[in-house]
Amino acid sequence: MTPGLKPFADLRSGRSADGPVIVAFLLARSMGEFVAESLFAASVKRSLEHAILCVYWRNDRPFKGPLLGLNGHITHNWGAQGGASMPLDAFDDASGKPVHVRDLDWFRHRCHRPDVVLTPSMMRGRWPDGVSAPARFHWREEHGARLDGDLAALGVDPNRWFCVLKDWDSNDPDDLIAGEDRTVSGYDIRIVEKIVRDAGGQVVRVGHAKLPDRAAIAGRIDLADAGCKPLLLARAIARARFYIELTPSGTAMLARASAVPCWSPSGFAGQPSVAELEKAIGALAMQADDHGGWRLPVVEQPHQPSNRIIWPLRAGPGFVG
Amino acid sequence: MSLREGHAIERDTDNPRLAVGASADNPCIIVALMLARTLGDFIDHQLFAASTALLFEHSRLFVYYRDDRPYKSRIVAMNPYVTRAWAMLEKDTFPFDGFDDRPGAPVGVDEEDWARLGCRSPHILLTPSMMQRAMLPAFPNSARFAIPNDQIRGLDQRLLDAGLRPDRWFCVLHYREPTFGPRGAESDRDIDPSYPIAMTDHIIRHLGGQVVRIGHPGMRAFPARSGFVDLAGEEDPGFLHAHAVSRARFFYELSPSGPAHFAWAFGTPAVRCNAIQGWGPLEESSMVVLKQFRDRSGNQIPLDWIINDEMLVRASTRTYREARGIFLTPNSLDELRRAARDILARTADCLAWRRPVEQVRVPPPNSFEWPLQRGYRHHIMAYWDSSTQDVEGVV
Repeated sequence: MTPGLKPFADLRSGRSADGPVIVAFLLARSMGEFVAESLFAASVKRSLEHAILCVYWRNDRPFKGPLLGLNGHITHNWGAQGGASMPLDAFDDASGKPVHVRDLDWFRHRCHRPDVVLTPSMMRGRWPDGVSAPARFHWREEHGARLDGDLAALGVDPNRWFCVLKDWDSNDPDDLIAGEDRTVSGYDIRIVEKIVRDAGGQVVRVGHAKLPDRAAIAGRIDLADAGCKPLLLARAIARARFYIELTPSGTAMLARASAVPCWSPSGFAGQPSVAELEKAIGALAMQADDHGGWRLPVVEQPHQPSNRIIWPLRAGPGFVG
Repeated sequence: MSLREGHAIERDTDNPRLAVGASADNPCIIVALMLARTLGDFIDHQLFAASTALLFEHSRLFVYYRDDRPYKSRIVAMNPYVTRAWAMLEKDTFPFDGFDDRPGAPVGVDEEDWARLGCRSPHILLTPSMMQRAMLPAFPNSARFAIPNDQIRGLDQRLLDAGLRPDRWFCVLHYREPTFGPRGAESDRDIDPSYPIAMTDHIIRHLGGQVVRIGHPGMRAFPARSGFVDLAGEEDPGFLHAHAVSRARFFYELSPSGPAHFAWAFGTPAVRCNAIQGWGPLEESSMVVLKQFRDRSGNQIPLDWIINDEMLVRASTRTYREARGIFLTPNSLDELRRAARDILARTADCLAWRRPVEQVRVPPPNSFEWPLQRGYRHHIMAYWDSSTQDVEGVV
């Protein structure tokens, strides 16, 4: 209690129906940032008892809707399209509003009277202090089983563990060609052989849909176009023993969203050497649990909400964007 | 290169110099949506946002408001903590996507300053529902308004020209009348106009002060007399009402109404009478005097019951009172007189026009826990029977 402050009766105690309202603006365009924002907001919600989370997002990328569906904490969402938006005056909670929001759900969920509003700058790849139990992707059982079936149908052996390898990724065709040459000669064969032959696993290769084909290697399953199927990609990573990528990318956020050990090279250090990759793979295999088969999808652990947040939201243990 | 799990990283702001608000290079950016229409709410929201800014050594406060009342732009001008304000006219508005701070935003705010000053990337976004007045006393440093420097001399002269003596103290008197604009009558807040006239007489004749009335044009006329100045008739008071409050020994509010919020905005002690809720002033010397709370049998409800129950917060709702069998009776003239004597005693250090006093501030913590506590620092009083009740025992 602040010194000298005499408290008013707490009107919220024991009134679950009046739990705090969180409104989050998930405005990122890249997949990594979008997922980070989504789960950041969910983690804040987890820290406040009886809270509800409503999100506003822009439905301008095919992955957004499906991945938003893996956030199990959202009470309601508004997906804006084209030039449409909602006005800041939507937070006007008095009578006689000069600017109207003609959406009853906005008021039904008490979004016009939020307790917390999160913008992208507050959620950028960091967890707030006090969030001891970060939110994770939530898979409905039937849905997950169907995607597992898809993975098996594509050739992933359900009885052996696998890792997901994100291949060279670039939006620049020149980089892609140069990277292709280096990757094939420098990394690809040795890495896959190390995982498949030496460690007894499988490699699920993901990446850009336009990546050139790799040479066929037993134990490597190619899902290079999985980026077009965001849920299949997310599911593959969620069930992988670990995730590794050859260039920093937002796909790593899918691993973090499922608490899957991951390795990503620093964006400042250039391409990793084969020796560095081998060392990373060895370390990942060590820290990952000993899975005879596929990883069980992570389940959020019960926890005691702190019922507080600290402004400004500070960096703490959690994601790095 | 680093090896890391999905959920474990190094902290990158363990260095206190990098903490938000700790340096001029990294100020805490606060965007406040001031969407209230009523005077009192608008003032309180300004104070809340400014007090939030004072929690940081370095901050920038940006205000988004709708310029639909003649007083709003002046109030923004009296808030010295505002870095930049955006005044919306008519149906103008900014979109939610104004907080998209990455390149290539498909929808945004068409104002260069919005992006240039960092408003797209706030650390804190305050909405009206977050800026709760019951949280205002929890701030370790309460923000104050300031009359623009270039206005002060002229406003002092206007008070002199209106007939105020500069060598004697005065109080500002205000109450609600049912003739106020489109909002009309509110039986819980309007009072019998004969009471303010009687109290003006009491303050001038028995307490030795002067009285300045503020309010809206069209309020009931008072008898002209020495020591009484009526500013309620000003069609366009500009900063005059606010300035009068800043110079007053105390603010004497006979029924809850917006202009009283100027008192806590300037640090002028206030007494709020005929109150049906506990919140109000921010000064510890200030007082809230409740109406008489009675049960169905007509018995007075003890003050400590009211204080410790939710009725202090909820009693303004008629349905709540009816459900609980609570009846309210306005303060009597005797109660109003006793309240005036008490606030006079609490302001004994101010014997002429009030001068701004530099506040003693605690070091900004550069962070705060949310939600803030809801509470009060003033005294909640009741003069319902022969003995004064004050839960703090300070009378």
